[in-house]
Amino acid sequence: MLTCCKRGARGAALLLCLSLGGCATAVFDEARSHYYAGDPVAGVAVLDKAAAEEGIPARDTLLLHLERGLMLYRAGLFAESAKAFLAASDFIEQHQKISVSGQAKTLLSNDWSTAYLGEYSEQLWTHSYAMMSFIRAGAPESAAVEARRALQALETHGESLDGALFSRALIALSFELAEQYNDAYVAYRQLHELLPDAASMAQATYRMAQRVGSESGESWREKVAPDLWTQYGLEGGEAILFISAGRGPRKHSGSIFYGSERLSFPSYELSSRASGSLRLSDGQGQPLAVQRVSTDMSSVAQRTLDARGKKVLAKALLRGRLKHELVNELRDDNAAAAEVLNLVFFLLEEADTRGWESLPARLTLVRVPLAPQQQILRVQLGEQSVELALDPDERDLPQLFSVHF
Amino acid sequence: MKFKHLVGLSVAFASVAGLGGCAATTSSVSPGADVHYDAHYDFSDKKRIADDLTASLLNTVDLSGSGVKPVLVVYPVANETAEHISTSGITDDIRLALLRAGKYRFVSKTQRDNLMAEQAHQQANGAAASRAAVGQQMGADFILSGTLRSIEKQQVKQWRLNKKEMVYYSLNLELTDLSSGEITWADKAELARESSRPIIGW
Repeated sequence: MLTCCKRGARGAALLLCLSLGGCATAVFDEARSHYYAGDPVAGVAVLDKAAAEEGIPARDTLLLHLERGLMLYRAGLFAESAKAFLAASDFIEQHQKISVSGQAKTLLSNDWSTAYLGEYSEQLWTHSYAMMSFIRAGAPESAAVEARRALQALETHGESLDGALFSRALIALSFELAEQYNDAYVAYRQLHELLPDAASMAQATYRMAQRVGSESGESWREKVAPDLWTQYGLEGGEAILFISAGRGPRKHSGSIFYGSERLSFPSYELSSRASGSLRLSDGQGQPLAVQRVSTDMSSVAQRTLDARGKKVLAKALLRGRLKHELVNELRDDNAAAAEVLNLVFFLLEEADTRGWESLPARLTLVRVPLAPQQQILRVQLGEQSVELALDPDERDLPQLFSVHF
Repeated sequence: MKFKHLVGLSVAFASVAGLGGCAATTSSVSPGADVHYDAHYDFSDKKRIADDLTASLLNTVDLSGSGVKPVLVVYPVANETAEHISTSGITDDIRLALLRAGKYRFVSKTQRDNLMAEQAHQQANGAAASRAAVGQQMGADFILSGTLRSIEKQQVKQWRLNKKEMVYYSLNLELTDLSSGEITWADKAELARESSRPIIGW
């Protein structure tokens, strides 16, 4: 009896280890620790080494691309990060089929055993980061392609992504920079219908209305704050900032216990929110009027997880029922083995908490008109601030910056 | 007993699944063959689009009225689709076909920077007799430009075993007279394709 229990415990431990892919989790944790410490290149090196040594299971390939892509983006290696996000998109596209064998595995163990395809929000942000990468890499036409893919994701997943305003502003900007003005104008108008503050991107919308010859442009002109209008009238160029702040949402496992069994399901917990208000000023500390659109990543992520909550719960219930029946069947032949199996099932009942954890808590797109000969742009979030060096002679193209707090 | 059957069945399924993945094959396909794995743009489409538009340009417009072959410069075709398509493949094919037809001459837009750099290098370092003349590059008479667009529709969400998708592509190409700004020729090539793929697989 004692031998049987020992074997059972060993088997359970082995199964648990295999099922949860503990090694891969450790690799991601190590890479993220470098990233959070301000060394994204070291994080990429950890991931690349693990991938080369086949230390990351195929089912976690998407996470590899996403974490790697974001770290490359933070390192300023935009062409490389764009490639990583394209690889992520391709992986999602190729694994859209429902796998019978994969689903069977999840019914006997848990969702960790299947390929992670990302929450709907993560799929949208894959395209968003690809857009930013292409824009920063000087390839606006490719950013516009990603903008169309992002629009497809928004259309497919509907209301759960309504709060993804940053992505919508980025879509419009991508079309604008690719000189696809009709698409840009449509995207700005759609954005305006969702914005809580109609003045947020009114100047950009007005400019697109002018470009496509729409007479309705004047209505946006009226919404622009007079000081912003004056600043844009000075012909001093424009700066566009992609500002990320804080640490994004992380999933944790929740459980419902009934008797000796349990059902597990994932939910999001906040790791840290971006705190403080965002202020922009010139070299003399003079506040600047800006256009801005922001997204709270946690709330969007939670809404998309909620949107598939019924499916998650239904599957957990089905899995619980199946495991219960299997244990009961075995109990008639071998009560001890049935108890071991029950223990294994109990331990395996773990919610899939995989996620794109290096995401920020908030993403903000800021457009700021520059005064002629302005050389410094100061960005402040709470107590933190950064100074950006401007090219005072650049008038024709917007000056682009990625800032992280 | 039932449990043992279940285990046996699971092992059998796993074995079949494992063995099924071993059959990899490779075969040659003619570049001219019409082969499509899904509804999206592929090399067969590139060939068809380039062939259609080249035929149109060669057969519907004659710009060599004065006996001198007109000079064209090819601008990149703007990609306004939802796919990362290299449109330079299309323009390269069209330029090659027009060159082979012998009715047009071309100057290269993509090599401009290289030409300037090479000329500067020759001026600084080359033997006088072998230097390329500066300021003697041929000017283009016409700009060839275009836009590739797509419209993609997927079946609405509902209970089904297959997912249908339809994609429409159009490439509009035009020839603009550099002196007058007149659009001398314009045409389009269209493709529409529907594909269906199973939602459930092994």
